[in-house]
Amino acid sequence: MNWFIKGVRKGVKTERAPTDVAAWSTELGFRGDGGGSPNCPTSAIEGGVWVAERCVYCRRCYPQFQPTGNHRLGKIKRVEKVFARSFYLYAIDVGTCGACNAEFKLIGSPQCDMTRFGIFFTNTPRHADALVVMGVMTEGMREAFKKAYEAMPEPKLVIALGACATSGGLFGEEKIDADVVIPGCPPSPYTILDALIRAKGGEGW
Amino acid sequence: MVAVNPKPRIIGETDGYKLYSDRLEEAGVSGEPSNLISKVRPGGSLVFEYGPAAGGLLESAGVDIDTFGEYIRGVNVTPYKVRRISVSGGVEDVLLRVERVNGCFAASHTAAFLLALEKAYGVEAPQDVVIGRVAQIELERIRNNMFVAQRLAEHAGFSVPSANLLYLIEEVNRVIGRAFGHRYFYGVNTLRGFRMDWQLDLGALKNIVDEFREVFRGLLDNRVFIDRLQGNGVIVDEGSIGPAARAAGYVYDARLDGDLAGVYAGLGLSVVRADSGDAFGRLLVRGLEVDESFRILSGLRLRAGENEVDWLSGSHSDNTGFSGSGLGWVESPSGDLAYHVVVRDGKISRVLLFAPSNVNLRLFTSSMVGNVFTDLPFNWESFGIWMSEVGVRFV
Repeated sequence: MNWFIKGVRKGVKTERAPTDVAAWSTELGFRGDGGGSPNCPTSAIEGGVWVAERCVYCRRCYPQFQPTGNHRLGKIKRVEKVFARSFYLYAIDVGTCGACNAEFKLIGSPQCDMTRFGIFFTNTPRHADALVVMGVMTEGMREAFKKAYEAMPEPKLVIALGACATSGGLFGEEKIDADVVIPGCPPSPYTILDALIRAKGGEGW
Repeated sequence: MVAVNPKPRIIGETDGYKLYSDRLEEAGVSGEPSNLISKVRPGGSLVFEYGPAAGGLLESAGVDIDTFGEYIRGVNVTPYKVRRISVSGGVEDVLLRVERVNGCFAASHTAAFLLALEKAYGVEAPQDVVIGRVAQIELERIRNNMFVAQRLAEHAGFSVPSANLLYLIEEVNRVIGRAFGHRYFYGVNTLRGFRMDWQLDLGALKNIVDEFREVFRGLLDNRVFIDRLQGNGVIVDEGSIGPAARAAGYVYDARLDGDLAGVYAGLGLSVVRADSGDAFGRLLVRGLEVDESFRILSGLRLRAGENEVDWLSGSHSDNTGFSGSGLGWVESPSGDLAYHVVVRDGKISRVLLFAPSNVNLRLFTSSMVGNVFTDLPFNWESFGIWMSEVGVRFV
């Protein structure tokens, strides 16, 4: 049997709305004083407030802080409506553990299907509308990051994806100066896709 | 059941140490992958630089290819994203960093590290916890082996099986996420225990594995696909590990002789092997291991309640002046993975990581000599290398 027939027989697997998100990749909310200090390793809890971009979901703050199930964590500082119908992304890994890479790839899974939202991957920064930066900035990748950014045409967006890029996470102090911040360690495909859609003027997912 | 190979085998080397299946010894040489590009090259050859950031690469890596234009004379891979990971702070702080050495192998890294630490402290984890660690590693193996098959299908331009496999990987992630609250096991494990209650949906996993088997058979039936793999990257090397070793016929598997071997022995582990030593053999081993991993998971008596989370804090005062060392060794999805941990005055003072990707990187570069450009992505993916763990230095 050829692959085309096999593909058709699988049916439509794409989801209309997010259905199944891992709890410890979503927003954390204060649920009451469970006693003791959260001892947060990344200072993601300051004055009783949860700071999404610093959180690595180590669960030390549990049960004072618990997942709410809200996956819409992305912070959009600049919207580019010119990308509304076609938004090409070039990903650069400047020092990840690999988990952000894997989750980013899964926005292309049949369940999420980024292409229906007009979002695509490109293999070169020359064709990219947004630079998606993942990982903690390592010295070996600093020059490659700079060159990739300079190679992109205007207008362009910089997207920091994952705790290492948004705050340095567990491994560094440096955060990427970004137009779109996607917290998580790693962020789920739902969180990533929602932020990308909002960055190009949509209502999110 | 296959007998354990009686001859000691090498597991890996790092920071001047060599680890064998029966001992750790000082080697006095660097564990860096060797550079196969000679300084003196014949006229007409060139060094083609690919990466460190380039389309087609999932992670950053610099690939230098010595070639006349198609025939590859030598390959050198440089990890550009070198992360220095501190061993300072408490055990739980170091554990958080170990989880993030290689997120896709986090269960394997965490299990090996915690086993090493428990040996250093002279304690053992309860049997339920040991079984739970085996379950996590086998889930990780199922996901990773599907991922390797997906990458190969994608490079071959096979969109339908590639999408089918991405669908299944996402479904495995969801099974893991529902059980553990996190798709990469972060924040789940601790010394001698788990931080949470968890329960695995084996029914959902069975459906995923059944569907994978159908896609995998479809790939194996396709002459166009397997032509890309057969004869590509042949390597038969006594120093190999994991699926690369088993694809070359070696019975090398830490599930037979590593720290968790007792659990696997009780379930009668069947070691999948091939005899071709090429990229096809490595895919074959990985694909068939998905079935075996599911069989193991089905046979485990999982009683995975929150367990012993306070052991460390409860005994912290007793360990203040404690000194010791230990080695933890498991079979990650890409082969042997070990940690050697030294504790001095109650603090972790040194961590040695023997990562499978270091060994697989050496095997990849050796096996590329004599191949052609179009073979490269298929051979690369067949080894299941993660540059994140290659570029890690514990300081």
